[in-house]
Amino acid sequence: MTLLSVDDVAVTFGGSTALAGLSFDVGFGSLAGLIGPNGAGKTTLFNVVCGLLAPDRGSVVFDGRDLHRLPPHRRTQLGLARTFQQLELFGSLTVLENVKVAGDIRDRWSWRSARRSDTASEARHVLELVGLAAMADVEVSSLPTGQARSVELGRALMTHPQLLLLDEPASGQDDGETEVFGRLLRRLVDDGVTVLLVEHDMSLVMSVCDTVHVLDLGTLSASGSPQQIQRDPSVLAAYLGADR
Amino acid sequence: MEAFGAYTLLGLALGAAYAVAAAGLVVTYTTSGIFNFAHGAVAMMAAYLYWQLRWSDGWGGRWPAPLALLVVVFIAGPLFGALIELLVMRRLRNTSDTTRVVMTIALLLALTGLASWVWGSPQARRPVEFFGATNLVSDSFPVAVLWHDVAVLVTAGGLAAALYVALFRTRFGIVMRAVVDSRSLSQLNGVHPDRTSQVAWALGTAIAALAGVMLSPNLGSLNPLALTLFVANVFAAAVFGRLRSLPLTFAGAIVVGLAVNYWTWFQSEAGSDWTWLSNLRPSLPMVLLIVFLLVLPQERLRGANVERSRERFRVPTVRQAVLWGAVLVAVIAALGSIMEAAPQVLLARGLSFAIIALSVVLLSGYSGELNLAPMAFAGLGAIVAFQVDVGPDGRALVESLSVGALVAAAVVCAMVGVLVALPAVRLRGLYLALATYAFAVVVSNMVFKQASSLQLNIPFVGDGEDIEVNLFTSGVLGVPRPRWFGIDLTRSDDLTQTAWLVFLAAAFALLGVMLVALRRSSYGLRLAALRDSPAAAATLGMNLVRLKTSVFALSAAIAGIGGALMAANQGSVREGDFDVFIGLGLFMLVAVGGVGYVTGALLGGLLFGAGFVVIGDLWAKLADEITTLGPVLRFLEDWFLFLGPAMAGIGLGGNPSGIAARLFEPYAVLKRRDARGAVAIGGSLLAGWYVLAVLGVIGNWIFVIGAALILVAMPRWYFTRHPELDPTRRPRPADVEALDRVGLTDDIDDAQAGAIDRLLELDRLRARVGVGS
Repeated sequence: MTLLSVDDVAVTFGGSTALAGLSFDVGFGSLAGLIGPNGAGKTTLFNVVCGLLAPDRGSVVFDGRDLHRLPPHRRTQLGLARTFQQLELFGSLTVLENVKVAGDIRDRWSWRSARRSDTASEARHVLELVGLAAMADVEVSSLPTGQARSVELGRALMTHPQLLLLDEPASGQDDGETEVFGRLLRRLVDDGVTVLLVEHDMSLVMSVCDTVHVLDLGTLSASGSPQQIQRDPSVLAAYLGADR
Repeated sequence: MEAFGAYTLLGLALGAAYAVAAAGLVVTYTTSGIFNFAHGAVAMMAAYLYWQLRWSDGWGGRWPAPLALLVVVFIAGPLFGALIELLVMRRLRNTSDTTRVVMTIALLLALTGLASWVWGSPQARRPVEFFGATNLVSDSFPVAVLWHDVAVLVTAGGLAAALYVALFRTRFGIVMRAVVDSRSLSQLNGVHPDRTSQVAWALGTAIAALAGVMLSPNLGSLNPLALTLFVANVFAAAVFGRLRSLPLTFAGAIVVGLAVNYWTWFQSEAGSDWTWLSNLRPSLPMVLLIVFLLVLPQERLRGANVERSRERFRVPTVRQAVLWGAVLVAVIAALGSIMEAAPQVLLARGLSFAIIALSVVLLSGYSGELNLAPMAFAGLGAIVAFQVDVGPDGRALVESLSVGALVAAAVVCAMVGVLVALPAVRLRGLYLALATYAFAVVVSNMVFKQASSLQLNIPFVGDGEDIEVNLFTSGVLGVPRPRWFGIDLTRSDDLTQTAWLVFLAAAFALLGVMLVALRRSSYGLRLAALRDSPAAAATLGMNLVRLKTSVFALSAAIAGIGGALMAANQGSVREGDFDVFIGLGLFMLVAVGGVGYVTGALLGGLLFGAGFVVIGDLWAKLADEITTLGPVLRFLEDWFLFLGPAMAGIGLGGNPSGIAARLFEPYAVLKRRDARGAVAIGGSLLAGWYVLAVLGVIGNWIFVIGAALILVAMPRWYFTRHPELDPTRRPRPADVEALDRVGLTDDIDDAQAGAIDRLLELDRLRARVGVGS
């Protein structure tokens, strides 16, 4: 079953084409990887899906609903959450507050204090999950990049997403951290979260993803299981610039 | 038809002059990323200088026009631009929009202050058009078209061509555009971005100077504030060009010029039915600015606009806020009871501004949204309180400021705030600042200057009868003070005056504690999220429109209450009390105080309402005492009165988080157990000193100076024994930056090693674990 369906999405910035009629699907409960060289349009795609950028044409259907003209916050309420390649943390807040505020936003109609204190304990739970329990009261701007990315992940999880868009979550992490992170991803998928992962760390992508989509110059150049992708000559071409 | 031609020609000429001014603004914005709110003030200074050289009989005067033009436009203008880039703008890298806007506002206030100082005498200074007063159209028209207007048109055309060649056909132009696109990339290619910015600023101010000279005859006699506002009308044209495109900016300027002149034409034909809109003409460019902002394509939601801004604000707990609120009320009560009448009035004025300033803290400090119209909302609050308690005919309905009036002021201002915010929610940062600036100018012109009553025939209201609307009754609004719970604050004796001070302090403290509680709540967390990264906040499910609208309404309500209390404090207010420049000055000084802190509002309000007057007064008193130093001390008095606030604003560049934190930081150590001695001794000294003042043994000035010395000495004394805790010994940001560049490959000398130790706070660590250094 398809959770996210991207159909013929095109985006141009001035004269340059970021996405040129891109189409692909992400199935319920899957962990899909999205790879491609720099400038392939991965982050642009995320911006289109989460509503920060309106495409020139094409449609995005999430859970059977066309997201056309829906503002970002409505999409999040439907179950979409994302992290950013260039960190977008709330720099004046602590780690815990960064995660808690996402719960507060989610529970915006709840005025009962019980629910509100819940978000604090839930936030602490999420921090444990992403391995930041000890950092709860640290100012987020003083964290190294790897941990800052985990804060973004925790924040996204607080929205109770159905689909999680992760934009290079492992960059800035060392090998050990990446391994732990991979296990966390699998665990999320086991819990029913669908994940679309943009990542440059091939070993992570190939080890955790169910399917991998390869983006090149704004179009899909290959899709398949990690094993298929690793053997696909067009993928090598996209990365190494060889003739196709 | 000939009338149409004449008004069109005049419109084109005004538009052309606007185009010149707007071009200067766009050139500096595109090359330095700083929108110069002082652009109008630069042009105003140039107009004065030109007048001084060309027409005055005093120093310099009676130069031939070409020589005066050469000096003003080609020497003074560029030199000034290069200088402000070097001294002010260069320090603004990695600062928030607020700090950048504040800095150019400070420059604006410095220039208008300087002009008022130098050319302050009431003598009329009338700039004369170039090429004499020969009228080119029939004398029967209500307007004359002069050679000056033709010359302006020709100059604008020439400038457009010259700018096109300079930006697109020369190496310098390419470099300049490269710096705009990517500062760091251009640097890698051997471009010197600072120098390029400097040249751009020189070019921008030279163009502003030219525009100032050309536009000044439009207003009759020179006036620093009026001329600054008049040139600032070109903001509309620059926004039409989206602050980047020169051709669109020129088009926008022509649109504005034509609109103003066609409106004048319409009004001269339409007769008396439209008198209520007679104040629209001067605000028309600002109305257009708002319209242009609204039809601009929506800006993409941005993330954090700087990687790591230098502003840092700590949020106190609610308990701390309550404690400090109580301390404030106690201190004001103690001071008020020994003060004479004149300083009491000043202190009350400062406190009422501080209450209005709280609206700035909520909106700009907590949520990062810029509102340059705090005084516009304050003025509306005063009007509402007046209408509720006194009534439109000026006859008092009640003799005391009623709670209902305050509530009504808050509610009406909140509603107006929503009206302003709804279209503005799409805007952020600079664009929102421009929209609220325009709102402030329009309200100043259209509401606060509406002194005579209007007979309006509003469809569907009042059964077709005219309704009398009386907004700013005869230009003065008298608002009574409260008489609540048997406490009468309307009397004028000493005790009542002190009670009134305590009332204002308590009102400030109450609102301040509420703000801190709000910031500590989940609503406050959301505001911080909105400020830090709107893009992330939206993708977490936050409805930005609702949040921004609500915080705008809250902030406007606070300003409204503040305005009503300010009116009650003064007894009566005039339109000038809520001027755009007052709002800009208050906004700037709140930023100087610390825009993220309630204390910042207190400092800002007190500085704005009282501080610089007191300092100026002090010099004047000294001048009376020490006659030999008279001229120097008088100079210092004028310096503080005219330029003091602006200089404080410019100082913000070096310390963007404001002075509140720095001022109170040393006192944190007094909470330590081993500092109790210092607290006890200092406290007793203060109490004794206060008793001496109450008994009249020492004068109030001696008391203030002595108390200040004791307060400064308390933490200092402690630091003599624990120097490692002294915050002034912490590394400065510049040191940290320098240390960033010390790589492992370099040899580290002793000074650098010491700096690294300080940076890592090793001596503090040693002190804590008990290891000698």
